[in-house]
Amino acid sequence: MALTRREFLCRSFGAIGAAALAFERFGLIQAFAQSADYKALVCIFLFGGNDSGNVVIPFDDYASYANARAVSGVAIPQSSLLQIDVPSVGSRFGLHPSLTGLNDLWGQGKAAVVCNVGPLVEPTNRDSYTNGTARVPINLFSHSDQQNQWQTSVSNTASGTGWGGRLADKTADLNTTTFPPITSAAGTPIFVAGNVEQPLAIAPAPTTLNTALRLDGFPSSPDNDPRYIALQQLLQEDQSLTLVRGASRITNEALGVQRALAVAGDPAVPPFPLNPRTSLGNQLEQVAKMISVRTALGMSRQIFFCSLGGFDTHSGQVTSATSPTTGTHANLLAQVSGAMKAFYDATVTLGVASQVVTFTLSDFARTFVPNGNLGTDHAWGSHHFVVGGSVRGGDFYGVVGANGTVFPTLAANGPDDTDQGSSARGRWIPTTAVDQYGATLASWFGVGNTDLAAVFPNIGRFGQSNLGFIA
Amino acid sequence: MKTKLLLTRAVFFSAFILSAFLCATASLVEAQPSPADTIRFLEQSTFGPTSELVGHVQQVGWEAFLNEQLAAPTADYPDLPFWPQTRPTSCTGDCQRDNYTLYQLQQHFFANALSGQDQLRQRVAFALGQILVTSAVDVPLPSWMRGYQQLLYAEAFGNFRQLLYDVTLNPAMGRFLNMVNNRCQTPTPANANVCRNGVKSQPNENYAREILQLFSIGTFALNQDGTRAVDGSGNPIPTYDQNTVEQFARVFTGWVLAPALPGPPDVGGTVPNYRDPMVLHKDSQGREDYHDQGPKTLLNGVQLPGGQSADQELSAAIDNIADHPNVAPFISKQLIQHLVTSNPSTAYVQRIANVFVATRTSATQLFEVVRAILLDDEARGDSKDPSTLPSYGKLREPVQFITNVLRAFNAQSDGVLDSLNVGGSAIGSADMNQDVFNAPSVFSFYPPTARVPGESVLGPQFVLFSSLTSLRRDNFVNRVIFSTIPAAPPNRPNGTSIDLSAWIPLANDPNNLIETLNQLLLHGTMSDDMRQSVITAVTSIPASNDSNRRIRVQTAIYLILTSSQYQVQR
Repeated sequence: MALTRREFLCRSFGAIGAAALAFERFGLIQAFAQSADYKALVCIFLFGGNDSGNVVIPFDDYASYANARAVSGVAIPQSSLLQIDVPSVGSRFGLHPSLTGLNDLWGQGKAAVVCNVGPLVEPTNRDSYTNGTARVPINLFSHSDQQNQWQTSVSNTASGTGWGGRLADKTADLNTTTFPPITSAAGTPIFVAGNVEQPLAIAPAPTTLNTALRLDGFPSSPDNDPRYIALQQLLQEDQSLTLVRGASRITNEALGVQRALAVAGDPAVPPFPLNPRTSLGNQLEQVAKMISVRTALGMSRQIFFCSLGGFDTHSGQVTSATSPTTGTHANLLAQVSGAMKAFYDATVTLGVASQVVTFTLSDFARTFVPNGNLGTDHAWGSHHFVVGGSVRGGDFYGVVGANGTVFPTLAANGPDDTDQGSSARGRWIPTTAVDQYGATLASWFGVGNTDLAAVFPNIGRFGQSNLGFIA
Repeated sequence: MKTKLLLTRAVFFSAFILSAFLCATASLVEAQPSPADTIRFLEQSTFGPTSELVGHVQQVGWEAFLNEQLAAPTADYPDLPFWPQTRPTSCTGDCQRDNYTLYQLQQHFFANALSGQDQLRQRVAFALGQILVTSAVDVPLPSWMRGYQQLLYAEAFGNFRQLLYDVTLNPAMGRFLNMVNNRCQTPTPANANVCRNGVKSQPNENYAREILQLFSIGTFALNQDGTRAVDGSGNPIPTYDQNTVEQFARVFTGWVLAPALPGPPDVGGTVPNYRDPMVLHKDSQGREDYHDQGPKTLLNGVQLPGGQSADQELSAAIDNIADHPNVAPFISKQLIQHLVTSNPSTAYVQRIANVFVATRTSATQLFEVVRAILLDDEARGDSKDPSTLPSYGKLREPVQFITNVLRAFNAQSDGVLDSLNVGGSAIGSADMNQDVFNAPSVFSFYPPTARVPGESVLGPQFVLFSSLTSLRRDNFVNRVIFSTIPAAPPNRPNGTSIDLSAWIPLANDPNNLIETLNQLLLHGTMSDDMRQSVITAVTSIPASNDSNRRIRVQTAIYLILTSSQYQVQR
């Protein structure tokens, strides 16, 4: 059996077992670099639970929306909506007025919306939810649990790995290098944890890419520096201590990648078209820079993670009932839209627009019926954006629900609500599972059916494993 | 110079004592704790051992030290004036920094941690602040946050039920989790049940959900040893459901900020009251018109009849939560994880939960719990055997890492350590993903259930340990050991520096140097492999002059402080 490049490197590295090899491990990269076949997935997690009920709003059927939301002051006025046609539903919708960038991409056919997605243990509807016959995700409506379920695609038990990490496990061999296939500009949440692959966390822009990991106090070629040698040796010692071993594994990778990035340099292109800077924009800018040096790093498949917090809008999600298009949520959406548009434009400049797909995740959507503080509480199924040159943009996708479309019926105590009775608040039961959403992305990324079941262990419970939103 | 020699002497003296009285009785050992165990004890109970404290605790013993800590005067945060929520354009420079950023609170947090006498209280308050969380992400003014942090200082050794009650009515918490102004939209109820049946909006569920999920009982029924209880089919048992959350959300209606305070002298007007506990909103006829008057069903089927005052209902609801059997193991285990080890045995959790229950009416319940945590067999001892307890200990979180390093070497510091960029290198606590009082959400910086990446054991603090932050820790050490954090007025008045001159004489004898550091930083647990690696690096530097001797000392300290063996408190 022929060893892949990756296996060879891993085995040699493991057999010799010296962190001093880390540099050689990456230094070999250049000779093997070839990345005409390149694909990247970029995950943007919207922490806190994005009120997607105010992101995608029925335009023709605006009344059903306004009935619930107008009186409490959080309704986005119909006249302010960015109108979009949705062929698969056969009616017009409107995007939140902050989403000018995404609206532009929608118009270009580069942005799609996947509707009413959420963690599911198995297909679930109002009947099976109400009578308890459907198994439902653990601790519904809890931030931490639903965040984990979105990131792991496993909803009925705790998972130690995320689907981004498992996807990296299954595709890392396509790379000609052992440079980490999964990179986060926002810490190391469970999405990026694989069984084999451990995530790389780097600093966002404006930190330059060659210092996105930085080790101070050593010469640029420290291999003969006794202190550097000892630093590396210590990372191989006391391996019987579990926490020490865990920490050393992370630091050891950091030392190797730090050297590789320093060598790769800080690419001048692309100019990231976002002014002023934003938190999410800075993360995506660093991702764009890493993509721009993909050949030097020997990468054919890369997964990235970025995030933005602040979506837990229990109060003051709009400025006031008389100014509902401004405020916390409008600002967050403007940041998401601006950063995603700038990033897409950067991939166009880099010539990889059709090789990069960006998509959003979030804890949950929020109650259709607001609370009394110009805010909304925790709900379930939510709508998400997918952007990229290969995306079949300009339409809604997902699994058709009770009303015959992929978009839920906006009625508290209605056919898609978990809640019953007069105090029902409209927490939509997802028609589309996170597994299906992720599997569509993974299939495009190059994962075959066998591996798909390893990445999404419950995908077999759901009918479609490809929702068709990427060509 | 003096303290360093004292420590060295103490190390050797105590080693002598230990060998001379190897078969000493347990009580004698307790009366004269070993140096290694004393250092371990201080890693767990303070923001880091100092040579002075090590000597003191060895002299007085653990019990006396704990009682001293109970009695020690409480550290304080500066009494910041209350400013308008929107910054007046006239408030710029220092005014803006002090009244509209966390600067003053964070600086005092670190200054208190580095040199305050009430170390245990501060350490417990910091732990509690990561369990009962507020954050500047939604409490933006430091004067608003200050009261909450003062509350944690004041009640760190108090009664948990009282703490839960006081936290609930604290205005910063009220704002953070939206209990303030939680009400139905209709201001004057047409009927008693309007909140429950209102069509326009529903009570805010935020505080109701998080007080249950995070501050008290968690989502699944627990055994007293912290493991999950299961039903007849072996499935975990939820402690509450969405309906319970909605019921508590209705209990928590009716509260608003206390009457406004006068604004600062040169601004005038009034400003929101984040000084006093929240109060009940009343209409012109004195009715609690924001409070849901209907009956409610709480945990374990406890009924509130309705028609009671919001205050009565609040007390009953806090009792209902505090009485839940989950509270003891849920809180006890997290306190153990914050102070001692990420993976306590079930028996350890059980022992502490028993103390939690037995002291539940005590005014010093949390002190008794912490005392039990620290004096437990699973916490004490000179070292823990890797072969039987491979997963013992906890990763030092950034704040603890920084303060431990600085206290070990008697650093001089202005306390400006939260967000730090020195020479283009980001090396502060915030840069290591722990921005004090500014956690990303009510879930704090890391969940107690997080695992060590690639391993099957718990390691909550590993959420903050990545390729990025790992190297930033190294860079912090590089900066303070090989150089200084220079003063940079006005925001960094003095900087932070360590005087290593007392260590330089030890450089002639690398074995002695490294052994002394081994005792101070690793309480004697350095492996032979590790010792050899450090010695090789140190002896590669000639001890030819003071400059080189200094580099020897710096090299040894750098290597130990950056090692995973030190990052993990064992």
